[in-house]
Amino acid sequence: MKFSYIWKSNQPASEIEIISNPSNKELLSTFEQRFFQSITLNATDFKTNRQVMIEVGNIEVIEASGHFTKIFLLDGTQLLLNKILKELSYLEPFGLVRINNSMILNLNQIHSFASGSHARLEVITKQQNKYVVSRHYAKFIKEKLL
Amino acid sequence: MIKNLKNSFLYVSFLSMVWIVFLITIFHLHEEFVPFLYVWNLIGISVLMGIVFGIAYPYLWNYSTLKVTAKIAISTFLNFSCSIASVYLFSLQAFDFIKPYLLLILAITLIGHIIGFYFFSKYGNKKLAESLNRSLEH
Repeated sequence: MKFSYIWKSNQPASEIEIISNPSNKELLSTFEQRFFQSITLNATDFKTNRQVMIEVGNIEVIEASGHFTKIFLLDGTQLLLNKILKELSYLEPFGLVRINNSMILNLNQIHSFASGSHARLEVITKQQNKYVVSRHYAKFIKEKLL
Repeated sequence: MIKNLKNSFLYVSFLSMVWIVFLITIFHLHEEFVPFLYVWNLIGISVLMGIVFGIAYPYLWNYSTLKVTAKIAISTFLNFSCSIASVYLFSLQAFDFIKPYLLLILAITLIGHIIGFYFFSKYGNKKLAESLNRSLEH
């Protein structure tokens, strides 16, 4: 496959535009996933109190916990990150978006949405975990998914 | 979020002020001379409207993830308190007139909020979930 580069100075630095044939959709999606997975975070393991490097693609949710955040990995491991949720907004282009005021979810892990109990909108992940989505962020998620 | 709620508060407060003055004018509820300090009563009503309809409601509807029972309780309490305080600030006579019906007003407010926050919200969530699931398929 041949790559041709067009450099535009007015293009946002956080954005890469790819023009391709629709038949390459799956291939490009794989590229995207691999690219996202290469982003890492340095968190603390609860049990061993050691610093561990985690790939963004392995995160299911990040939950606010006072001045810290709790990271829940796909295998159920819980880690602690010395940052508040607001400081993690840079992860948005990598598929980690806010779903309510205290939670960030990995969009690649979404299985479906449903109208849940207590008249709340819920998102169900591939691990069958349920999280509440606020209406404000639901509109934002929809834009991201399209 | 704070910016959105602040804008919403200013917008609702101003529109409430215009709306109250408009109602007073068309229904001839005013006297020839209004005490200057009464203007503060009107501003008070606008601020109350701004807090309830410009901050509390948008927060509960768009951002909050509380259980529906909590949302209904909070919104009913705020709406009822705001209505009563507004009537009190508007006219003592009007407040005396509605005093015997306070419980009835509270009951109607509660029913309205149950419909809005439970049934309508459930219906809205169902539609939103369907549209989000469609987006997932793309």
